[in-house]
Amino acid sequence: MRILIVEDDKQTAQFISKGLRQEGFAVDLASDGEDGLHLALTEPYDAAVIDIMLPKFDGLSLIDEMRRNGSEIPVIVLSAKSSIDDRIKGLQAGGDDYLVKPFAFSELVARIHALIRRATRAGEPTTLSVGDLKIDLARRKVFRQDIEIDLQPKEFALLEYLMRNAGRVVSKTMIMEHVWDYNFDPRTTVVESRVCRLRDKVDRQFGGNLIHTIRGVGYVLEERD
Amino acid sequence: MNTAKEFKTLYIEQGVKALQAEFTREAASRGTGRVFFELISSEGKLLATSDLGEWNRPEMLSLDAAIPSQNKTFFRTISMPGHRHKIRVISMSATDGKVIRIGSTLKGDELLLERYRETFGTALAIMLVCGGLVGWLLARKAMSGVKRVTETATRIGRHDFGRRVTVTGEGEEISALVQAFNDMLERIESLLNELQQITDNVAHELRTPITRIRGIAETTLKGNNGDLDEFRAMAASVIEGSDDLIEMIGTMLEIAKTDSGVAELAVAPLDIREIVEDAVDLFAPAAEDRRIRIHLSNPPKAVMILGDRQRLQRVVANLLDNAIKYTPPGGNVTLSVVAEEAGAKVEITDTGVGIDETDIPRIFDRFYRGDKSRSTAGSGLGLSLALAIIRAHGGDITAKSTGSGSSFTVFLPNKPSSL
Repeated sequence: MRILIVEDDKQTAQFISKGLRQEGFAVDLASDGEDGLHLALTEPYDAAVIDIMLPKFDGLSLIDEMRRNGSEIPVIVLSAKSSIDDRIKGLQAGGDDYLVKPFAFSELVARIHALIRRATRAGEPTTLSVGDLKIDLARRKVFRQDIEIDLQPKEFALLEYLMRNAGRVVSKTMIMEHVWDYNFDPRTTVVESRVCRLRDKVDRQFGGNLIHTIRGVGYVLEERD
Repeated sequence: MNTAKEFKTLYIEQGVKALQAEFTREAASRGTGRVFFELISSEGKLLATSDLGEWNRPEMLSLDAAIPSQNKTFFRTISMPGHRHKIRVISMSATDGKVIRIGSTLKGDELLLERYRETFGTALAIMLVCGGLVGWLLARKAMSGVKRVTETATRIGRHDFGRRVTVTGEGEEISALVQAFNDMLERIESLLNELQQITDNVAHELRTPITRIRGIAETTLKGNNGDLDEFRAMAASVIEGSDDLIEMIGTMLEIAKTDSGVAELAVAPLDIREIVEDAVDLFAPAAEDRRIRIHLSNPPKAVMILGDRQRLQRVVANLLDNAIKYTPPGGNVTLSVVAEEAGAKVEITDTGVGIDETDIPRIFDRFYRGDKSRSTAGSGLGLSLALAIIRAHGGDITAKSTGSGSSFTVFLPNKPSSL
């Protein structure tokens, strides 16, 4: 997977590219709109991360220009303003995404994966599995070592979200947004308690933990040795 | 016209002599120089006339070269040298192509017109002067209000934001202007105070966590001899501290935006019970972990209001979070939704530590923390934001200490008053 990053702030660009390389992406950097456009039109990328405030011409014009030249690279727009202006809403409607600074890196990664998945139109799976944990999305059932686990609806939604992002860290804010439809983090222990309960049901009695806490960052569901 | 007809009849019945006599008599009775009467033959010869003393014949002859044909009557108004006023001439055909002509000066009519002009002219002039004067006085009085507004605006330009324009009786429009202007000033002043307060608070409240973050990083860097776990813990602490700061800044901006009305509410019809139920569902495990029981008493029917879902979620989550935080293990938190005529009431009561009577008026202030809450985690912004959001909806929050805990009551009108 190859990602184009157009960001003029060097430190931000570096931490994004470092993080994405760690995630296994190939990353190209451009520091202004002109270079960004040139790269976007000449190289094949799976996704682009574009800052709005850029020298030469801004991110939204860059995207306009890309689209006019037939580029269909899915784009995540980075914005320092939390007031979502209409143009960004427009972008969103066009199938792309935006992220407000400061953002959690894990959220950026999750969104890039989601965009690429959407762009490649991977068929919606009906089951997800990690190791010996399986969930059946159609019948809303969970099995581990072929033993059915009884989950409450929200617990199921939480597990589904972790499974969909298996191997990737999801932050508490992302969980709040996707599972509870709250667009803010109450900064309390609500998510922790939830994850703790889910772990009791999914991990504890089976040995071999799948749900891991990354302190300060969030949670990840993955098989570890 | 009638005179001409009478003359005609007289001429036909009694002849020229009688007409001549009648002409003279009639002319004399009307006054010298005011009328003339003539009977003219088809060749233009005068057959009978009144005394033509002042009347200028040649002029009159040239006046009517074409004699009116049978049974026609002509009217004409002419000016004549030597006569100041216009003369009206009636020519009526008598028998045998003869014409009776009557001329009369319009002196009387013109004098009357002149008198009219004088009278109305004077009246008009007086009215203009009076109207102008009254108008000028009114305008001056009205403008004095505008002038005061201008003066105040100028002073405010020099940072004197406490000033207001005094309301005096200049009339409704000016009073309305002054009122609108003062309201605007009120708002500007409160926004400025807000800004000042926020700046002060930010400076104060941000220093502490930043110092802590910096401290953790510094001590780890200095005292560590290659222990990776310690670095991990440090990184996690730095992230947590930063997230707290980001959240605090976000909340402060949100309060300021909501308070000032800059943030528009995304208003939609919603069932307030759902928001409360979702919050209870969200917090249930966390409450259970602390051995706190949550009781929910909702009416069976939907309690619909118009409101901003995300923001109201935040209010309920904040209040519920507080209730759980300040209630010791084994306690109870009770939520109830009550549908009222004008809106909905949400009550959240706990069996916690309660609020000191002296703290109650201040708990909604930004960053205010009572003695009982100081040791508990939090930014001191939750209630301020909740109040700002509820006020933006046109509702209110009240708090009381029940002796065995605290109770918060949120009232939300059916419809935000701004709509």
